[in-house]
Amino acid sequence: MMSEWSFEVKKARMSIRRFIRSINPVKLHYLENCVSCAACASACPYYPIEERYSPVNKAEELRKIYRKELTIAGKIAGNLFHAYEIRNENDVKRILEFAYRCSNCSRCYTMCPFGIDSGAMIVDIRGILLNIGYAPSLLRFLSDLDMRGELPESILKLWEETLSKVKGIIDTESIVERKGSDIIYIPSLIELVFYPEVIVDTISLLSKLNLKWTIPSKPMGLGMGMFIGDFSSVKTSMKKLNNYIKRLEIKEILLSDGGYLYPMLRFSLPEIVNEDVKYMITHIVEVLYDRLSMLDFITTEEKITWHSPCQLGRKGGVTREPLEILMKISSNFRRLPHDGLEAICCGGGGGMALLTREKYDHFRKLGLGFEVSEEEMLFMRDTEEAYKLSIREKMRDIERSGAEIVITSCPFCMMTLELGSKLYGPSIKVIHFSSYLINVIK
Amino acid sequence: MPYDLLIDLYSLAIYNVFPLSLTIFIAGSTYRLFRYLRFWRRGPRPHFRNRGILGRIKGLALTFIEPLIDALKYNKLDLVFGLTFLHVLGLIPLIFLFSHHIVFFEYIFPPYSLLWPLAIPLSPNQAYITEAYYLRPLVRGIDTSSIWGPLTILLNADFLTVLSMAGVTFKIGDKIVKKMKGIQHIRIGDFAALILLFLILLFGFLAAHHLPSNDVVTYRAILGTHILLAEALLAILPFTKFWHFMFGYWYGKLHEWYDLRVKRGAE
Repeated sequence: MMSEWSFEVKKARMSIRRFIRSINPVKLHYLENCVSCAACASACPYYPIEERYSPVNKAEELRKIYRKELTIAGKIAGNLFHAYEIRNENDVKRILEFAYRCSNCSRCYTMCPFGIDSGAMIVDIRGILLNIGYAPSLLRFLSDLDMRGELPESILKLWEETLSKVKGIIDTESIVERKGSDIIYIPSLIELVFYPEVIVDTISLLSKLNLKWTIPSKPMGLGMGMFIGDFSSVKTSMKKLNNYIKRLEIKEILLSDGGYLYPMLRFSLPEIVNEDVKYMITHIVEVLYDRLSMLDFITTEEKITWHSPCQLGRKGGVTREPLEILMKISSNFRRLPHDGLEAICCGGGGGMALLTREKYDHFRKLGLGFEVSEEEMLFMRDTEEAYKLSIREKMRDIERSGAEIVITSCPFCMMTLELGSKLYGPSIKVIHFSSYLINVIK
Repeated sequence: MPYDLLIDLYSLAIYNVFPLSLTIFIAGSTYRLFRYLRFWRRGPRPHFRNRGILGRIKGLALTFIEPLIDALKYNKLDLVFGLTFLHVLGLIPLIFLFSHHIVFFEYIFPPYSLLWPLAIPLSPNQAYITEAYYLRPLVRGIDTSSIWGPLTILLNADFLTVLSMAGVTFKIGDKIVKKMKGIQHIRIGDFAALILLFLILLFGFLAAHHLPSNDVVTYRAILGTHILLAEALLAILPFTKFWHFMFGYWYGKLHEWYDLRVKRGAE
């Protein structure tokens, strides 16, 4: 599959109209109540690279479109009021650069004196670009994969291999889609591809907890359209998931992925599928926290810390729980200088961690068929460079804490922190929460 | 300038333009609020994370306080000039508590007189609100000394005006620098709003001190211009970035609190 980027005015107009139809009061507030104070700037991991990558400056692209479409002044005297259409390929390329300099971490949301979530606006910008025909091939490929729901053989094989590693611990055949289970553990596709050991460790943890749980018969790519603002893909995959869970009569979905998937399922699912959701969504951190008094740990003096993934912490609300668990385990727990709602983003969220040559090659090795145009290669080169630079602030924060082991729960954070350690130091071990816990639970 | 026109500028501001600008303000505000209702749609809600009532109250306070802490850490200059000088110490007390303004607001809306005990005098060496007192023909027998005591050294209109003008000047300078760097979110409207503020402050200062000359004609012209500019601000308020003071700030932070602290339970 080759996605050539080419601009058409008609597509741009249709794409913008689609965005306008999606406006609700919260989006309206984001669009019209910014005073350009730029208080959000220092929140963004991409801002230290270039001043124009501040959230307010990137989100201005969407405001320009909004003014042109929905304000009287913008319609009458566009240029004077900074109201513009997307007119040509140059406009698209400028917007594309801004759109993929954001990890959608929402730190700008809490730092903004007006509560404006510029990251959410960037997702809308990505959606507009996608509908014009511009999106990174890999992210588009994943979104399409999700929409179709048909996974390639190589991924299914990987799933089988991963499950075969837990055969000594559980009877995988009897656990798959087991009727009457309270909980279903759904690993993410990104975890399966990059960190299959996290799935093994989470299954091992679950087997220790005496729960009635199950796993799906095949892996699921869920909501990956969010990386490129592909809301149709997100809606389709969420509806499939919802029907699947209702059919199994499950009470709780359990995730080990603390990335975008957690807040999407936990807080946006009812809106996406447009119905009340009766079952709960929990993360493995919450499951262990709820059973903390029953658990017995091998205590340690290791210098550990918790990197709060923006999606699980700031946008998921799971801020206090991992700290309390880890402090119980290590007497040498080092809290990061910026944590919880204040946590510095590593820069890898919003699909940014996948926009590197290495990750593209990784997917290609799995036999996933997509090709990249020369134009996109240039975009990729600059994007990868920016992504690598965006990690620096986080690594400084970790260095200041003195931690030697960084525990987290988002695959994008894991790959980004590992890369950051190689590029800038300090030398740290990055490990998933489940993988750390399985070794310290008695 | 002809004598009659200068006299009229003041009368025009008080008796003719004010009802007009107030009408535009009310109509504009209604329009802005109506748009929110127009886009509102009801949908199913997720399970909220329960952090308890105390957690939510604490979260509400932190939602408003944390951007200030962040500004202290990352944007010190903007915190000093933009927030402190321009907003907290400057415009807010100046607009709402300066004794001359209380006289005017009380004339339009009598219950505003409740704020008299908090009134701020014109200058530091005039801890008594005498000048304003003589302007208040409708209310008698009040204590005209400032409640602020020694704080009057800071809390006086002269000083606060200087702080506000320093704040506005800083903001204009900051935006010029950013514009020169090619930062696209700086717009003409930003400059227009700040220049309007600066002019209101300047003419207010001149009027309060009977500058540039002490004759009635000039005084009425300068004061008339000050009031006319303030009325222009009132009229454009719902259509410009000034709207943040009326609505954007409050809606934005309350929504953020609801979204992050109440719904998601982040701490």
